[in-house]
Amino acid sequence: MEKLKRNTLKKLLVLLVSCIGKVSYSNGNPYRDRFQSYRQTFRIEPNPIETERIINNIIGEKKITKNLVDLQVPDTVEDGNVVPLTFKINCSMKKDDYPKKVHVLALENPFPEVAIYEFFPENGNAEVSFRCRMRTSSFIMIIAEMNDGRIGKEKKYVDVMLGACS
Amino acid sequence: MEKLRRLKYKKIVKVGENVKIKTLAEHEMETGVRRDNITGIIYPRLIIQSVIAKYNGKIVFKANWFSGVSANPYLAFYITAKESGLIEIEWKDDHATTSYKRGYLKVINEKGNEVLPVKYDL
Repeated sequence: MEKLKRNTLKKLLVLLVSCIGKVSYSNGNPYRDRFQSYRQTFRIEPNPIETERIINNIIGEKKITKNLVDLQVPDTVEDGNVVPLTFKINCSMKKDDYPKKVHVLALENPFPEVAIYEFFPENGNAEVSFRCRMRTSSFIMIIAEMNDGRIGKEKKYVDVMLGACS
Repeated sequence: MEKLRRLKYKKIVKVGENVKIKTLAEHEMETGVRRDNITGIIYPRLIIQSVIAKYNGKIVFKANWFSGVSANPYLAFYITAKESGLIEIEWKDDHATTSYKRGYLKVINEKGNEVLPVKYDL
């Protein structure tokens, strides 16, 4: 009789531990690296914690200088598949004053990183225009990493009527 | 069938001018998130990962793209004209297949003579 009791208790304990372990190890949230590996071909919902992590990764503990980035996006867009976007970085493109990298992020996309542009002092005007996709109406953020360690940030809200399934 | 690649700019410019270079590539930028409604099959990801621009053999501009860029991607950027030479643009795919487009840029100084990249005296 006592043996049966002990065995049942043991089984219960094992079940409990396994349940807790499952919850902590696989919470249905797949790990996403920044450079979207090729295997991850399933529908993923946007994750605000992940976007915050990416932004913190870029900025770190550097100071943000104002009026460095000009961003031109229409306020309302009919089709989320084609959102025209142009940005300009206000600097003299000399050898010591040019943007090394410019990140374009669409927050609330499943993969918030849209594009990274690298500039050199040879292009005399740090202006780029292209088209991007947006799933829902959300912010578009541009982060510019300058050559001398400064950082510029600009945010703008875009209203999307028909979202893209990106 | 060969896909369309386009490169457009002002052909004859003066020294020190900023030239706007416009590029267009025909490509279905498949995000890897889309699913077929009936069969439920997920279309695998296939996008253009990077665009590299060279001016006289030197890298002038780079773009790294992710799945957020629209289909048939258009890109415009600037170059300062120093001397006449080649402008080459390279698109690189997810399968590392590359496609190129190039053109000649003619640069003129104040007297109307062409500025050549190689200097010589007769």
